[in-house]
Amino acid sequence: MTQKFENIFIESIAACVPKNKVGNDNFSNLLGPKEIRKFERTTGIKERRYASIDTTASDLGYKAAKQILEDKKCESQITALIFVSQTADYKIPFTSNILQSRLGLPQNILCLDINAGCAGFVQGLSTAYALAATTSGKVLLIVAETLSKILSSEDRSTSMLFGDGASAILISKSKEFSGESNFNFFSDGDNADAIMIPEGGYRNPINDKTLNWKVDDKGNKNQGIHLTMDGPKVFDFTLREIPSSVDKLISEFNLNKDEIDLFLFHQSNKFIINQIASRLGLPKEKVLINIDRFGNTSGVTIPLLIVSDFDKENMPKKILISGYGSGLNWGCGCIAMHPKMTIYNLLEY
Amino acid sequence: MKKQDFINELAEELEVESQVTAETVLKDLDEWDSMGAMILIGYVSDNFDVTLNADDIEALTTFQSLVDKIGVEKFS
Repeated sequence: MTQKFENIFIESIAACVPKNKVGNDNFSNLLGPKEIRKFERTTGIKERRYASIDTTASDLGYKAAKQILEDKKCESQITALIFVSQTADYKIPFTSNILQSRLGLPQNILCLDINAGCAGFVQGLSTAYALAATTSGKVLLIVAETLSKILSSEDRSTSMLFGDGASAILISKSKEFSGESNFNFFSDGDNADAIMIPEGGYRNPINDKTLNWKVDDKGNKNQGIHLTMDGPKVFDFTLREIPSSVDKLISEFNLNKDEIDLFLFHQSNKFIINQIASRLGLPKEKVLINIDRFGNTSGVTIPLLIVSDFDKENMPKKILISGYGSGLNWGCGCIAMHPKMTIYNLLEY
Repeated sequence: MKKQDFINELAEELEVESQVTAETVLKDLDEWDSMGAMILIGYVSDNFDVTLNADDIEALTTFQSLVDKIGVEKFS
């Protein structure tokens, strides 16, 4: 599927990460010093942030959103609130409805949760743009994850890769903004098991064996409620599909690659990002990376990258975003940036 | 590139401490793991413009099998 939007733009963007930094030396039960060095070389990850036991993804998202609302004082103009996460507060009710009240937003609002993975920001942004195009108000998008809470500390294939964080993005419409933004989306449900929490839903409900530890053929230990990942399958998928999906967006909408100021890929792994960039022939200075400081925060990585690494004095006119992950699911967007977009300083919670 | 130079350089990239030859079996090395596979894929892609996937990696046995996969004609 492809989409084209005009007159819609990101007005402000904020992000919040937990205070608690977790360095690679905390994983000496899983990797020796030489393996940790190789881990840093390949994934690029040096540390990630972990939320405390009583902090949820929506708490981080709330902080980020509050920063925008306190500055813009636009609560009454928000007509839709989208919450993108795989680590919601409850199974019922959905989290955006709770945030409506917490954030002091009006009751005549559409609240929508999207359960999406590493492509979640691209999916959430396109949904927000579609809503913004058909309402007179503004749309608030919150992407938030506490993946640390779904990891097994004894699984080498997942435990060191992920971190926690959240971002809030305010989307608006104005005829005075003539920029065009484009999206494309892809899904491959055949590989739904490549990234999965196998139990705890209603296909495999929680039972008296769910918390038993299982050991896979590589010695990784997991309970049924932990995130599992088929690393080689995901790696192949990324290198096979992502460069071509970016090329498809560029050709479908007759975009000029040279006019795209920055390329923001989902921060899954530095090696993969560099391989994608190299296959697309992109100069290094146009590809931002912050995975060294935050790890993979799923759908949060791209907006977090905007907050942590954009040069506010030298704002890009056009950026390309590409998200990919569980589903398997992937999507790209070429986003025209508003010259007066507000980027707030990164918050810690 | 000479075959043995390639093997030596790749072994260095993989931080292999023991002596390796074309007959060395990758999976026998202590240093061989998923991160090593990533390093190997990157090294081969950068130097030979050959893209290996997970099935190719799984099928590798010795360094010679890697040379065969890349193409013996690319080595002097």
